[in-house]
Amino acid sequence: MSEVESIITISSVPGVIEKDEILIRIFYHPDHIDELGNIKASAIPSDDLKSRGVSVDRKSYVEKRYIETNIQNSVARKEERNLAGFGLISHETVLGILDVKNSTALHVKSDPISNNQAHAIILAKNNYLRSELKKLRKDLVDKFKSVKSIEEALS
Amino acid sequence: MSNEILERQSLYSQTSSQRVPGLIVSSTLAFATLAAPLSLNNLPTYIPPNVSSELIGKFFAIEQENVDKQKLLYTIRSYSTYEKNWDGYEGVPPKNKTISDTTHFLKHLPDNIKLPYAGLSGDGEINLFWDKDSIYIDIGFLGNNKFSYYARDNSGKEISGDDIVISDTLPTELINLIKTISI
Repeated sequence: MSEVESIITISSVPGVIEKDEILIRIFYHPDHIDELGNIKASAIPSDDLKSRGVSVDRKSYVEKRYIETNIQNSVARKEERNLAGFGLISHETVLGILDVKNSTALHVKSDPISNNQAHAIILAKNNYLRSELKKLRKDLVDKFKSVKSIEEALS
Repeated sequence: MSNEILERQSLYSQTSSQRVPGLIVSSTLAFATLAAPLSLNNLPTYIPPNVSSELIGKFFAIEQENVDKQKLLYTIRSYSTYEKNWDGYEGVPPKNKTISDTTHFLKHLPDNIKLPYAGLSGDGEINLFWDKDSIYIDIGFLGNNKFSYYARDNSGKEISGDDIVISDTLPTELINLIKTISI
């Protein structure tokens, strides 16, 4: 199955992310979900936290069509993969995650891309060791609220 | 040598020396066709009738552990089929060395422990997780012959390690923590 192209451009997305903004990350079964139905910490790559940023979408601005296309493409890449759900987390909650020195460990940056102006990234504030990043991603995963449908995620 | 290994050897030696009606066990073989090439370890096993039920129970527990470990190894090997952008977030597949490092580590875990579950990260890292009894362990492999880990025991005490060379000897405090997780 060929991938579906998506070219959606939204204007007027503010560069500043408010503290009460909700961020969305998509999770797939079986890769991101453990045997009890919980999100695996590996759904958050340590390297992404450290350098590239963990991709999320800003709920207030992301187009439903963009998310649907993204899911369609990801599911098409592997036969047994299917949508597990959406993880929702507030910007403020991300900022509440602390490192071993009790300092704010993560921050969120607006990172618009060509077909998704609502794209943002979660990044570590310091150059943490991999073991420290493992702790941070566990704390992050535990704070995602999971919902099953795109309607719930965007409501 | 542990009692369980001695018991297992005893069971196998009885199997080969007696020719009486008994039970043929093939649970490992059933999965072996999917998970690993057929080997002597995967052949069906004959259990004679005069073996105690207690010993048979232990045998099945060992067999089940073998099957679970084969399934886990199969999952880890399956990561080699993943393509670039497998997760929709530009994820990369693991290197072959990452898979071999992880399987090497797994094979050196002691018997009779709760087996971990595996996860693949978008950065190509393979992880082994335990998350039970309020104990959390995350061990990661990147294919550089080393691993890193973060763990938290049921009192909240944290332990961690970075750039640990993979060898036949595993960090004592990590193994001790794994052993406390109920099977």
